[in-house]
Amino acid sequence: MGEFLGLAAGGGMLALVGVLVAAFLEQMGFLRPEKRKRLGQCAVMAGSMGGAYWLIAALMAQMNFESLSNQARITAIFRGPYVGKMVYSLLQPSFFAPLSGLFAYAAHFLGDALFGQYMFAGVALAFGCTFFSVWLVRERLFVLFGDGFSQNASFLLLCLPFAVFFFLPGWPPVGLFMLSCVFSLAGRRLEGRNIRFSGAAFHWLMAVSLCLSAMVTAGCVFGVVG
Amino acid sequence: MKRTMKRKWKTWLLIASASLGLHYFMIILAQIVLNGGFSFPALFALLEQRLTLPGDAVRYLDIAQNGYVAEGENAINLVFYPLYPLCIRALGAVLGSLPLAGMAISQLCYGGAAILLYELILLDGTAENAWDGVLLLALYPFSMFVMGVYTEGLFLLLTIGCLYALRREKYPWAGALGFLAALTRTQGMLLIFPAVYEWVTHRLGKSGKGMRPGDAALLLIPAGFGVYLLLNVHLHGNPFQFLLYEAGEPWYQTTQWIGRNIAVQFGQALEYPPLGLFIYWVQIALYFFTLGVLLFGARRQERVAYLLYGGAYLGFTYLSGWMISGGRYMLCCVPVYLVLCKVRPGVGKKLLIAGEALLFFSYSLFYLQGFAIM
Repeated sequence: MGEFLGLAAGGGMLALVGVLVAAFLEQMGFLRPEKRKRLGQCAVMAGSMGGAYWLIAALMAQMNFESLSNQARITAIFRGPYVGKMVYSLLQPSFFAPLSGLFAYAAHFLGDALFGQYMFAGVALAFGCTFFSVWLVRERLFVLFGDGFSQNASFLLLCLPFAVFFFLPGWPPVGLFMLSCVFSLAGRRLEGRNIRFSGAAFHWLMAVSLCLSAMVTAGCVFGVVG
Repeated sequence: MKRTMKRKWKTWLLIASASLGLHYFMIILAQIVLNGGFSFPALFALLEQRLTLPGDAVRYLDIAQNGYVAEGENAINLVFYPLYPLCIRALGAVLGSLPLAGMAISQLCYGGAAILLYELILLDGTAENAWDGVLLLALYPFSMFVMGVYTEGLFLLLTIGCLYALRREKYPWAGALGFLAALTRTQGMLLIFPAVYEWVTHRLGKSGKGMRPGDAALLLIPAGFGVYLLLNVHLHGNPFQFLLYEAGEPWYQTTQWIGRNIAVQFGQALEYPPLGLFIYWVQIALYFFTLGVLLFGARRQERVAYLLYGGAYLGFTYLSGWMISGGRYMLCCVPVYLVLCKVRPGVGKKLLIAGEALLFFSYSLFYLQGFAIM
């Protein structure tokens, strides 16, 4: 619980910094109010979904590994071999794989700035990359297909069966970010059309995807995935 | 409606006397509860014992009397900034009593701070908002410190004064007040954030008015901290000697990431339940409450410079490891009052004020009883 409060406290402070930067950009005329609103929505979506994955992971660890300490229950989500190696490399970064190495070095430098909180820095960076990617995707989809579809599609991105990895240290957040950049740039050539997608159908799709996603999260806690 | 000067003075007098009166009313109530009746000798004894003797008060009075020293057990007094003890020394020479001077400075400055807060809120809000802001400040559960020999009253006055000057684009005044604030408490130098923000948006923004020579006065804010560093050099040859003292006995304060500090405080709250209610739970609750208020303010599109100062103040304060005076420190997080005073009248606001009033009475009583509120 203490570790959770710590994560929430640190994450909250970083979120406040982000909010103030956005307000500054808007006041200086670099960011339009509608864009800022969508940015805020994406931040809430990404933050809430990431938080939800972490919470259910901690809950699963709580129910299954009572002997673990508080801190171990929260970090039980790192039990998979790749994620475990990645967390270790936050302390001693190396280019054991290109994207993973890039992430490890970036998180390590951020951790230095946060008084040696390397794990927190890794998680914060993953959240940051994912949030920014979702926003990029949403902005492009907004231009192409309008507000409703862009919101649904970007939210669905966070419900994909392996979406939990977007919120963990490793290559997925970096990969998602790079793909989003490519999509955002290449998408300029696409032509918009009015897509109608039933709200109920979307909710069903989302629910199924989230069940799979929860299963993958549980797999991370049991150390069989990731 | 334009207020006449006479009417202004009347309002200011009312604000100062209401703010200070509320605290004296509280002290009298506490004295009646504690002693089973009212008597002036008991009241004065309580005032002396709880407002001039505990914790940091003794150290401020020692600096005022003997100055800073480079050796001996009082060398660690260097961690306390110089402006407040300097003021005590000056007024003490007139009044003939240092403790009395310390209390007078705190209380007069607090009265002034309440007036400036009223005027600051009035620039962007209604008189009702402004009165609410003054009440929220007065009812802050740890506001009892503005009555005693602590820097809170002076720091509030200088901080709100600086924010007021920034809001009115009086940058030379803002620089001067920020300079003094930076000589009062570490958090004073954080005023550079709203100062730079206001300056950039007003001078260089879309409808910017361009730079003016007086704007350079804003650099006085970091200069205030620079003067304090020079004091460190003068006494010890090391500009950051105060950090070494803070890391040692009896404070053990080092800089740690906020998340780690909150997690440690949670552990301490569980380990020491009685202290948790006065220190650790309070600090954890205040962190999340303040963060929530600032985010709420951002959503309500409150003035970004205020939120920036609030965020910097909150973040900087909670970087301090082994903090035990968080309740007192957060008293001076002025943006919280600036945001909360504008909450629309309704059940939420009534509950907020009611909750604050109950906590104000409770914690003031605990403080006057001598519990571990520092």
